Amino acid sequence: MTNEITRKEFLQTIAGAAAVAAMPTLTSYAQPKPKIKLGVCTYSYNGDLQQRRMTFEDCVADMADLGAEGIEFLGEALLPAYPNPSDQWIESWFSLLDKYKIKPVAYTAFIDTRLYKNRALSAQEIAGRMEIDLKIMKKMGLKIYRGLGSSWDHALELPPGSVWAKAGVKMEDVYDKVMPLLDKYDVTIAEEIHSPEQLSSDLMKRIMDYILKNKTKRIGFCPDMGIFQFRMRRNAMENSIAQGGRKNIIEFIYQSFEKNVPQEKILAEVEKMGGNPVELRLAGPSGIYHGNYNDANRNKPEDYLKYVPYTYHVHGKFWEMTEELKEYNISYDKVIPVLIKGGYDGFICSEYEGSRDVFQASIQLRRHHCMLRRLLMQA
Amino acid sequence: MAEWNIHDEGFKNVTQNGKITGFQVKIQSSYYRGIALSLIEDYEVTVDGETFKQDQIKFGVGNRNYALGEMESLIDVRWPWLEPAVLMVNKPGGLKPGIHDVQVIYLYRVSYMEARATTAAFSKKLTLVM
Repeated sequence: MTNEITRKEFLQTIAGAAAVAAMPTLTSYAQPKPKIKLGVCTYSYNGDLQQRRMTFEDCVADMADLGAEGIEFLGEALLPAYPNPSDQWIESWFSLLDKYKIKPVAYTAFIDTRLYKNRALSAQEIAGRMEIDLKIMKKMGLKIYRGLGSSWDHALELPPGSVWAKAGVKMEDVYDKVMPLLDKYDVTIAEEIHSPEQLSSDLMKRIMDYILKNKTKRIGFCPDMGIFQFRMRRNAMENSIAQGGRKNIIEFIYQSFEKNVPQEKILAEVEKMGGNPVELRLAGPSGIYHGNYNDANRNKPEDYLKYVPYTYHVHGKFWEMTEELKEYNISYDKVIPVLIKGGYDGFICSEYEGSRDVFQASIQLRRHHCMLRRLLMQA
Repeated sequence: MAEWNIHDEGFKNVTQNGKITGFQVKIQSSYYRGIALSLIEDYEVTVDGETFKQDQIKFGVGNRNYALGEMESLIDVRWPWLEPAVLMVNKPGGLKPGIHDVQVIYLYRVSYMEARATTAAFSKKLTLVM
């Protein structure tokens, strides 16, 4: 005999009422397929484009062939006569999207805060430069502006003591000036969170504070999957040696990094060892600590969950897809479930950044999308 | 740096008013986007160990040639990403026909890097036919 009660009796209890409130609705009980969509950033094809193996149309055809639904467009690379595309080119853009059934999704934007050699741009001027791209986006039907994000601090505060840093422009000042423009052009800024940014950083907090204080959906996040890198790129040490670093010094730098020795201390040691330019650069602020994580600083995928509701785009950064269809350096299998759990329903646009030899992008992007589809179906 | 950063095509002596006044070499950006000319800080060309500084070089894009000083204020004139820039180097008599060791270095400001400016250095053996 069991102690089961009928469903009706259960619901009549207080416990039952609470349980009903907590129960997923019937639609979610059916475990709907994640609403996440897949696309490709044109940046992925930069090697083939620069070496004239592919035209822009070839890139669109390629991404359509591998099953991408949407495109992220790098304006300053690909827009002819940037920033003034002809009406004819805009027409051809829409024809291309229609021909290959690709949706216009995002625009990879940049801000040159160091535009002038001898002076900084004001927050108003920076917003003005952003407006140049917003106008282009409107013409092209693109709604997501890939923003500077974790690079704002660099763009506004470096080099220390420079004429640009001394101006003291803050990211929030720029946001204040640009917010009315976002409504005008119907664009959302997805601030790119790029390695070596940590999810616990002050900058992440400031972006969240701004979003919450202004109750806005016009600014949000675009995590670059590189922030979940869990190990060095393959042959990283060998590549440093090939570039002219001496084996013992290069090994010392990599081992010190893995042991979480602070960057300044590593540099001081290398200087004492008589480091050459390659070795000094690796030990310097733009070297091994720039874009890599040692285990003291690694981001945990589960720590991203709280940012998912404010995430409007994702850069599927990758460098090397193995034949096992895994990314060698980045824990996608741990990150995708977090995005799904958080209810993300935007695009993941693959951003290939590995070898720029011709043909590699087409090969690697297919592996990447295979992996993404499998991870999404496993959810 | 890759084979395509310095072009084989376009490496030649330059003639003005019947006299060879110098030579030109074409370079293609190693960056991933086009840039405003105002972001270029410096450039130099070295051929067979002889270095030519920026004051001996004009920077050519979009069918116009610029001196470095002129470029400082040009925030809205662009070096398009896929367009090779033509460096016109002043050298009366030009270069002899044959193979030359050519190196091009240029500096440009990238606003999110720690260093003030980023250095691009390209070197290649190029053949001057005429």
